[in-house]
Amino acid sequence: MTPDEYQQAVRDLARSAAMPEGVAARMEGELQRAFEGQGVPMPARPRRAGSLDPATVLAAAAALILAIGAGLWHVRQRSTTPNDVTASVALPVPTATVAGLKPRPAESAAVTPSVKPRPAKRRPLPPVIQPAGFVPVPTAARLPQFESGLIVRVALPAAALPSYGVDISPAATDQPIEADVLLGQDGLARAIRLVNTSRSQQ
Amino acid sequence: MTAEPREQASDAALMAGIAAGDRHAFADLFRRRRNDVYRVALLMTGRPATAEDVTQDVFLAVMREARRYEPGRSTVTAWLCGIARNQARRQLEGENRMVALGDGDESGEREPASMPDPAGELAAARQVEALRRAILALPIRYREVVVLCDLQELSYVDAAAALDCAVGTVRSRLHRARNLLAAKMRHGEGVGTAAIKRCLA
Repeated sequence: MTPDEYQQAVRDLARSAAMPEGVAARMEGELQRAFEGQGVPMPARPRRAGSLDPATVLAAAAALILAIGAGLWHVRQRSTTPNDVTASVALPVPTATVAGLKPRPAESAAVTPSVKPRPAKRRPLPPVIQPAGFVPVPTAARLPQFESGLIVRVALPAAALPSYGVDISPAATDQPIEADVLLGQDGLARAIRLVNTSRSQQ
Repeated sequence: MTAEPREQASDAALMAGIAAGDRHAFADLFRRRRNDVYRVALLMTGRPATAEDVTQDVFLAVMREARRYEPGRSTVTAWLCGIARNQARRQLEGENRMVALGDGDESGEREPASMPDPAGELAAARQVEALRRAILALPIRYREVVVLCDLQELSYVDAAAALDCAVGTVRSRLHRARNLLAAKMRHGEGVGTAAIKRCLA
Protein backbone atom coordinates (compact mmCIF):
# COMPACT_ATOMS: atom_id res chain seq x y z
CA MET A 1 0.00 0.00 0.00
CA THR A 2 1.44 3.33 -1.04
CA PRO A 3 1.30 6.38 1.26
CA ASP A 4 -1.49 7.80 -0.89
CA GLU A 5 -3.46 4.58 -0.67
CA TYR A 6 -2.89 4.56 3.07
CA GLN A 7 -4.18 8.11 3.41
CA GLN A 8 -7.23 7.29 1.32
CA ALA A 9 -7.92 4.14 3.32
CA VAL A 10 -7.57 6.11 6.56
CA ARG A 11 -10.06 8.71 5.34
CA ASP A 12 -12.52 6.03 4.23
CA LEU A 13 -12.17 4.14 7.49
CA ALA A 14 -12.72 7.31 9.53
CA ARG A 15 -15.82 8.11 7.47
CA SER A 16 -17.24 4.63 7.93
CA ALA A 17 -16.79 4.74 11.70
CA ALA A 18 -19.61 7.19 12.35
CA MET A 19 -22.25 6.53 14.96
CA PRO A 20 -25.48 5.20 13.38
CA GLU A 21 -28.22 7.84 13.44
CA GLY A 22 -30.68 5.67 15.36
CA VAL A 23 -28.14 5.02 18.09
CA ALA A 24 -27.25 8.71 18.25
CA ALA A 25 -30.89 9.76 18.65
CA ARG A 26 -31.57 7.23 21.39
CA MET A 27 -28.40 8.09 23.25
CA GLU A 28 -29.06 11.82 23.02
CA GLY A 29 -32.47 11.31 24.58
CA GLU A 30 -31.06 9.25 27.42
CA LEU A 31 -28.29 11.72 28.08
CA GLN A 32 -30.67 14.67 28.05
CA ARG A 33 -32.83 12.97 30.65
CA ALA A 34 -29.77 12.27 32.74
CA PHE A 35 -28.63 15.87 32.39
CA GLU A 36 -31.97 17.17 33.61
CA GLY A 37 -31.88 14.76 36.53
CA GLN A 38 -28.37 15.63 37.67
CA GLY A 39 -27.88 15.35 41.41
CA VAL A 40 -29.97 12.22 41.48
CA PRO A 41 -28.05 8.95 41.22
CA MET A 42 -28.12 7.75 37.62
CA PRO A 43 -30.32 4.73 37.11
CA ALA A 44 -28.35 1.81 35.81
CA ARG A 45 -28.59 2.08 32.06
CA PRO A 46 -29.52 -1.04 30.21
CA ARG A 47 -26.37 -2.79 29.16
CA ARG A 48 -26.08 -5.39 26.54
CA ALA A 49 -25.58 -8.97 27.43
CA GLY A 50 -21.95 -9.43 28.22
CA SER A 51 -21.39 -5.98 29.65
CA LEU A 52 -22.54 -7.13 33.08
CA ASP A 53 -22.36 -10.85 33.01
CA PRO A 54 -23.97 -13.18 35.54
CA ALA A 55 -20.60 -13.88 37.15
CA THR A 56 -20.21 -10.19 37.96
CA VAL A 57 -23.69 -10.02 39.44
CA LEU A 58 -23.08 -13.17 41.48
CA ALA A 59 -19.75 -11.82 42.67
CA ALA A 60 -21.42 -8.57 43.70
CA ALA A 61 -24.15 -10.45 45.53
CA ALA A 62 -21.59 -12.66 47.28
CA ALA A 63 -19.55 -9.63 48.31
CA LEU A 64 -22.68 -7.98 49.67
CA ILE A 65 -23.68 -11.06 51.66
CA LEU A 66 -20.17 -11.39 53.06
CA ALA A 67 -20.13 -7.74 54.06
CA ILE A 68 -23.49 -8.07 55.79
CA GLY A 69 -22.35 -11.25 57.53
CA ALA A 70 -19.15 -9.61 58.67
CA GLY A 71 -21.09 -6.65 60.01
CA LEU A 72 -23.50 -8.87 61.91
CA TRP A 73 -20.69 -11.00 63.30
CA HIS A 74 -18.89 -7.88 64.44
CA VAL A 75 -21.97 -6.53 66.18
CA ARG A 76 -22.71 -9.86 67.86
CA GLN A 77 -19.13 -10.21 69.01
CA ARG A 78 -19.37 -6.83 70.63
CA SER A 79 -22.69 -7.64 72.24
CA THR A 80 -21.21 -10.70 74.02
CA THR A 81 -18.27 -8.91 75.57
CA PRO A 82 -18.25 -7.15 78.96
CA ASN A 83 -17.55 -3.88 77.17
CA ASP A 84 -20.83 -4.15 75.36
CA VAL A 85 -22.69 -1.60 77.47
CA THR A 86 -19.91 0.93 77.18
CA ALA A 87 -19.66 0.38 73.47
CA SER A 88 -23.37 0.75 72.98
CA VAL A 89 -23.53 3.89 75.06
CA ALA A 90 -20.66 5.32 73.10
CA LEU A 91 -22.64 5.15 69.89
CA PRO A 92 -24.13 8.45 68.77
CA VAL A 93 -27.66 8.59 70.07
CA PRO A 94 -30.18 11.23 69.14
CA THR A 95 -31.00 13.59 72.01
CA ALA A 96 -34.67 12.74 71.81
CA THR A 97 -33.85 9.08 72.24
CA VAL A 98 -31.79 9.69 75.35
CA ALA A 99 -34.47 11.82 76.89
CA GLY A 100 -37.38 9.62 76.00
CA LEU A 101 -36.21 6.06 76.43
CA LYS A 102 -36.28 3.86 79.47
CA PRO A 103 -33.75 1.06 79.69
CA ARG A 104 -34.95 -1.98 77.80
CA PRO A 105 -36.01 -4.93 79.90
CA ALA A 106 -32.99 -6.96 78.91
CA GLU A 107 -30.63 -4.21 79.96
CA SER A 108 -32.43 -3.74 83.29
CA ALA A 109 -32.26 -7.43 83.98
CA ALA A 110 -28.57 -7.47 83.30
CA VAL A 111 -27.93 -4.75 85.86
CA THR A 112 -30.44 -5.76 88.56
CA PRO A 113 -31.64 -9.29 87.89
CA SER A 114 -33.96 -9.39 90.89
CA VAL A 115 -36.00 -6.38 89.86
CA LYS A 116 -38.93 -7.13 87.61
CA PRO A 117 -38.74 -4.77 84.68
CA ARG A 118 -41.66 -2.46 84.24
CA PRO A 119 -43.51 -2.79 81.00
CA ALA A 120 -42.42 -0.07 78.69
CA LYS A 121 -44.96 2.62 78.05
CA ARG A 122 -46.09 2.90 74.50
CA ARG A 123 -45.30 6.31 73.20
CA PRO A 124 -44.28 7.71 69.88
CA LEU A 125 -40.61 7.15 69.51
CA PRO A 126 -38.11 8.81 67.27
CA PRO A 127 -37.01 7.00 64.14
CA VAL A 128 -34.16 4.59 64.53
CA ILE A 129 -32.21 6.39 61.89
CA GLN A 130 -32.79 9.49 59.89
CA PRO A 131 -30.35 9.76 57.02
CA ALA A 132 -31.61 11.12 53.72
CA GLY A 133 -30.14 10.08 50.42
CA PHE A 134 -27.10 7.96 49.82
CA VAL A 135 -24.39 7.80 52.46
CA PRO A 136 -20.93 6.66 51.34
CA VAL A 137 -19.90 3.41 52.98
CA PRO A 138 -16.59 3.61 54.86
CA THR A 139 -14.82 1.19 52.54
CA ALA A 140 -15.71 3.24 49.45
CA ALA A 141 -12.88 5.67 50.11
CA ARG A 142 -10.34 3.01 49.16
CA LEU A 143 -12.13 1.99 45.97
CA PRO A 144 -11.74 3.41 42.45
CA GLN A 145 -13.92 6.35 41.56
CA PHE A 146 -17.54 5.48 40.89
CA GLU A 147 -18.36 5.53 37.19
CA SER A 148 -21.36 3.35 36.67
CA GLY A 149 -23.15 0.64 38.48
CA LEU A 150 -26.45 -0.54 39.78
CA ILE A 151 -28.65 -0.19 42.80
CA VAL A 152 -29.67 -3.29 44.71
CA ARG A 153 -32.45 -3.22 47.28
CA VAL A 154 -31.78 -5.37 50.31
CA ALA A 155 -33.25 -5.94 53.75
CA LEU A 156 -30.60 -5.55 56.40
CA PRO A 157 -30.76 -6.06 60.14
CA ALA A 158 -30.39 -2.63 61.71
CA ALA A 159 -27.46 -4.05 63.64
CA ALA A 160 -25.50 -4.30 60.41
CA LEU A 161 -25.91 -0.65 59.55
CA PRO A 162 -22.99 0.71 61.61
CA SER A 163 -20.63 -1.36 59.50
CA TYR A 164 -21.92 0.68 56.55
CA GLY A 165 -21.29 3.94 58.35
CA VAL A 166 -24.94 4.51 59.33
CA ASP A 167 -25.47 5.42 62.97
CA ILE A 168 -28.34 3.76 64.76
CA SER A 169 -29.84 3.79 68.16
CA PRO A 170 -28.26 1.03 70.26
CA ALA A 171 -31.71 -0.27 71.07
CA ALA A 172 -32.56 -1.10 67.51
CA THR A 173 -30.59 -4.25 66.92
CA ASP A 174 -33.34 -6.51 65.60
CA GLN A 175 -35.09 -4.26 63.15
CA PRO A 176 -35.01 -5.32 59.51
CA ILE A 177 -34.32 -2.21 57.48
CA GLU A 178 -34.78 -1.91 53.76
CA ALA A 179 -31.92 -0.20 52.04
CA ASP A 180 -30.69 0.54 48.56
CA VAL A 181 -27.04 -0.35 48.10
CA LEU A 182 -25.20 1.35 45.28
CA LEU A 183 -22.71 -1.05 43.67
CA GLY A 184 -19.96 0.32 41.50
CA GLN A 185 -18.66 -0.91 38.19
CA ASP A 186 -16.59 -3.51 40.09
CA GLY A 187 -19.56 -4.84 42.05
CA LEU A 188 -18.41 -3.35 45.34
CA ALA A 189 -20.66 -1.23 47.53
CA ARG A 190 -20.12 2.52 47.30
CA ALA A 191 -23.06 3.98 49.17
CA ILE A 192 -26.20 3.04 51.03
CA ARG A 193 -29.58 4.70 51.25
CA LEU A 194 -32.26 3.71 53.71
CA VAL A 195 -35.58 3.17 52.06
CA ASN A 196 -37.92 3.27 55.02
CA THR A 197 -36.82 5.76 57.66
CA SER A 198 -40.14 5.78 59.44
CA ARG A 199 -39.63 2.51 61.29
CA SER A 200 -39.53 3.07 64.97
CA GLN A 201 -38.02 1.29 67.83
CA GLN A 202 -40.34 -1.15 69.50
CA MET B 1 -24.89 41.77 25.76
CA THR B 2 -26.05 39.41 23.05
CA ALA B 3 -25.54 35.72 23.42
CA GLU B 4 -23.40 33.99 20.85
CA PRO B 5 -25.51 31.80 18.55
CA ARG B 6 -25.00 28.29 19.75
CA GLU B 7 -24.22 26.81 16.37
CA GLN B 8 -21.31 29.25 16.15
CA ALA B 9 -20.22 28.81 19.73
CA SER B 10 -16.83 27.27 20.22
CA ASP B 11 -16.51 23.91 21.90
CA ALA B 12 -14.97 25.67 24.89
CA ALA B 13 -17.98 27.98 25.14
CA LEU B 14 -20.29 24.96 25.05
CA MET B 15 -18.25 23.36 27.83
CA ALA B 16 -18.66 26.50 29.90
CA GLY B 17 -22.38 26.37 29.25
CA ILE B 18 -22.53 22.74 30.32
CA ALA B 19 -20.66 23.57 33.50
CA ALA B 20 -23.32 26.21 34.16
CA GLY B 21 -26.10 23.67 33.64
CA ASP B 22 -27.16 24.60 30.10
CA ARG B 23 -28.73 21.47 28.65
CA HIS B 24 -28.88 22.95 25.15
CA ALA B 25 -25.13 23.42 25.23
CA PHE B 26 -24.81 19.80 26.22
CA ALA B 27 -27.04 18.68 23.34
CA ASP B 28 -25.04 20.78 20.89
CA LEU B 29 -21.73 19.42 22.06
CA PHE B 30 -23.05 15.88 21.86
CA ARG B 31 -24.27 16.36 18.28
CA ARG B 32 -21.04 18.04 17.27
CA ARG B 33 -18.58 15.61 18.86
CA ARG B 34 -20.38 12.28 19.20
CA ASN B 35 -18.80 10.87 16.05
CA ASP B 36 -15.30 11.87 17.18
CA VAL B 37 -15.79 10.04 20.46
CA TYR B 38 -17.53 7.05 18.89
CA ARG B 39 -14.83 6.70 16.23
CA VAL B 40 -12.05 6.58 18.80
CA ALA B 41 -13.97 4.05 20.87
CA LEU B 42 -14.91 1.89 17.89
CA LEU B 43 -11.45 1.77 16.39
CA MET B 44 -9.85 1.07 19.73
CA THR B 45 -12.25 -1.68 20.80
CA GLY B 46 -13.47 -3.03 17.46
CA ARG B 47 -16.97 -3.49 18.84
CA PRO B 48 -19.89 -1.18 18.06
CA ALA B 49 -21.72 -2.14 21.26
CA THR B 50 -18.69 -1.33 23.41
CA ALA B 51 -18.14 1.87 21.46
CA GLU B 52 -21.70 2.94 22.28
CA ASP B 53 -21.13 2.25 25.95
CA VAL B 54 -17.89 4.19 25.90
CA THR B 55 -19.50 7.14 24.10
CA GLN B 56 -22.29 7.30 26.63
CA ASP B 57 -19.81 7.09 29.49
CA VAL B 58 -17.76 9.91 27.98
CA PHE B 59 -20.72 12.26 27.80
CA LEU B 60 -21.82 11.30 31.29
CA ALA B 61 -18.32 12.27 32.37
CA VAL B 62 -18.73 15.59 30.51
CA MET B 63 -21.87 16.20 32.53
CA ARG B 64 -20.05 15.63 35.79
CA GLU B 65 -16.63 17.00 34.98
CA ALA B 66 -17.23 19.92 32.61
CA ARG B 67 -15.86 22.30 35.23
CA ARG B 68 -12.54 20.49 35.17
CA TYR B 69 -11.90 21.19 31.51
CA GLU B 70 -9.02 23.65 31.09
CA PRO B 71 -9.23 25.46 27.73
CA GLY B 72 -5.53 26.37 27.75
CA ARG B 73 -4.37 22.81 28.13
CA SER B 74 -6.01 21.08 25.17
CA THR B 75 -8.88 21.35 22.75
CA VAL B 76 -12.25 19.98 23.75
CA THR B 77 -11.92 17.30 21.08
CA ALA B 78 -8.61 16.18 22.52
CA TRP B 79 -10.08 16.21 26.02
CA LEU B 80 -13.03 14.09 24.90
CA CYS B 81 -10.78 11.72 22.97
CA GLY B 82 -8.61 11.35 26.05
CA ILE B 83 -11.61 10.33 28.13
CA ALA B 84 -12.77 7.98 25.37
CA ARG B 85 -9.32 6.42 25.18
CA ASN B 86 -9.24 5.87 28.95
CA GLN B 87 -12.73 4.39 28.97
CA ALA B 88 -11.95 2.15 26.02
CA ARG B 89 -8.77 0.89 27.67
CA ARG B 90 -10.70 0.21 30.84
CA GLN B 91 -13.31 -1.74 28.91
CA LEU B 92 -10.65 -3.79 27.16
CA GLU B 93 -8.78 -4.46 30.38
CA GLY B 94 -11.98 -5.24 32.26
CA GLU B 95 -13.18 -7.63 29.67
CA ASN B 96 -9.70 -9.13 29.55
CA ARG B 97 -10.11 -10.29 26.06
CA MET B 98 -8.55 -9.92 22.71
CA VAL B 99 -10.45 -7.87 20.18
CA ALA B 100 -12.46 -10.19 18.02
CA LEU B 101 -11.65 -9.04 14.54
CA GLY B 102 -14.61 -10.68 12.94
CA ASP B 103 -17.08 -9.32 15.46
CA GLY B 104 -19.04 -6.14 15.05
CA ASP B 105 -19.25 -6.17 11.33
CA GLU B 106 -21.10 -3.03 10.39
CA SER B 107 -21.62 -3.91 6.79
CA GLY B 108 -25.36 -3.88 7.29
CA GLU B 109 -25.25 -0.27 8.47
CA ARG B 110 -23.30 1.08 5.54
CA GLU B 111 -25.01 2.76 2.69
CA PRO B 112 -24.44 0.99 -0.61
CA ALA B 113 -22.32 3.25 -2.74
CA SER B 114 -22.64 3.74 -6.44
CA MET B 115 -19.75 1.99 -8.16
CA PRO B 116 -18.62 3.49 -11.41
CA ASP B 117 -15.48 1.36 -11.07
CA PRO B 118 -16.57 -1.82 -9.28
CA ALA B 119 -13.12 -3.37 -9.25
CA GLY B 120 -11.51 -0.23 -7.87
CA GLU B 121 -14.28 0.25 -5.29
CA LEU B 122 -14.03 -3.33 -4.18
CA ALA B 123 -10.27 -3.09 -3.87
CA ALA B 124 -10.63 0.11 -1.87
CA ALA B 125 -13.17 -1.52 0.41
CA ARG B 126 -10.83 -4.45 0.90
CA GLN B 127 -8.02 -2.08 1.77
CA VAL B 128 -10.16 -0.24 4.30
CA GLU B 129 -11.16 -3.51 5.90
CA ALA B 130 -7.56 -4.71 5.92
CA LEU B 131 -6.51 -1.45 7.52
CA ARG B 132 -9.20 -1.76 10.16
CA ARG B 133 -8.05 -5.26 11.03
CA ALA B 134 -4.43 -4.22 11.06
CA ILE B 135 -5.14 -1.32 13.42
CA LEU B 136 -7.10 -3.56 15.77
CA ALA B 137 -4.22 -6.04 15.77
CA LEU B 138 -1.74 -3.39 16.93
CA PRO B 139 -0.67 -3.33 20.57
CA ILE B 140 -2.89 -0.86 22.37
CA ARG B 141 -0.22 1.84 22.86
CA TYR B 142 0.38 1.95 19.13
CA ARG B 143 -3.26 1.55 18.22
CA GLU B 144 -4.28 4.63 20.18
CA VAL B 145 -1.75 6.95 18.53
CA VAL B 146 -2.81 5.80 15.07
CA VAL B 147 -6.46 6.33 15.95
CA LEU B 148 -5.86 9.77 17.45
CA CYS B 149 -3.29 11.14 15.01
CA ASP B 150 -4.16 9.50 11.69
CA LEU B 151 -7.87 8.77 11.90
CA GLN B 152 -8.94 11.52 14.27
CA GLU B 153 -6.34 13.92 12.86
CA LEU B 154 -5.38 15.38 16.22
CA SER B 155 -2.16 17.38 16.34
CA TYR B 156 0.75 15.81 18.14
CA VAL B 157 0.25 18.28 20.97
CA ASP B 158 -3.42 17.40 21.34
CA ALA B 159 -2.70 13.70 21.08
CA ALA B 160 -0.08 14.07 23.79
CA ALA B 161 -2.64 15.82 25.98
CA ALA B 162 -5.20 13.09 25.32
CA LEU B 163 -2.69 10.35 26.07
CA ASP B 164 -1.10 12.23 28.95
CA CYS B 165 2.38 11.75 27.60
CA ALA B 166 5.13 13.78 25.95
CA VAL B 167 4.91 14.95 22.35
CA GLY B 168 8.10 13.06 21.60
CA THR B 169 6.48 9.88 22.82
CA VAL B 170 3.58 10.43 20.44
CA ARG B 171 5.97 10.94 17.53
CA SER B 172 8.01 7.86 18.24
CA ARG B 173 4.99 5.65 18.86
CA LEU B 174 3.30 6.86 15.71
CA HIS B 175 6.42 6.16 13.67
CA ARG B 176 6.65 2.68 15.11
CA ALA B 177 2.92 2.12 14.68
CA ARG B 178 2.99 3.05 10.99
CA ASN B 179 5.85 0.65 10.41
CA LEU B 180 3.94 -2.11 12.14
CA LEU B 181 0.85 -1.30 10.11
CA ALA B 182 2.79 -1.38 6.86
CA ALA B 183 4.22 -4.76 7.76
CA LYS B 184 0.81 -6.13 8.70
CA MET B 185 -0.71 -4.81 5.48
CA ARG B 186 2.05 -6.39 3.43
CA HIS B 187 1.61 -9.76 5.08
CA GLY B 188 -2.10 -9.57 5.59
CA GLU B 189 -4.99 -9.94 3.29
CA GLY B 190 -4.34 -6.72 1.46
CA VAL B 191 -5.37 -7.24 -2.14
CA GLY B 192 -4.54 -4.57 -4.65
CA THR B 193 -6.69 -3.25 -7.44
CA ALA B 194 -4.78 -5.29 -9.98
CA ALA B 195 -5.46 -8.53 -8.18
CA ILE B 196 -9.16 -7.74 -7.90
CA LYS B 197 -9.31 -6.91 -11.58
CA ARG B 198 -7.65 -10.23 -12.36
CA CYS B 199 -10.30 -12.02 -10.33
CA LEU B 200 -13.13 -10.20 -12.10
CA ALA B 201 -11.70 -10.66 -15.55
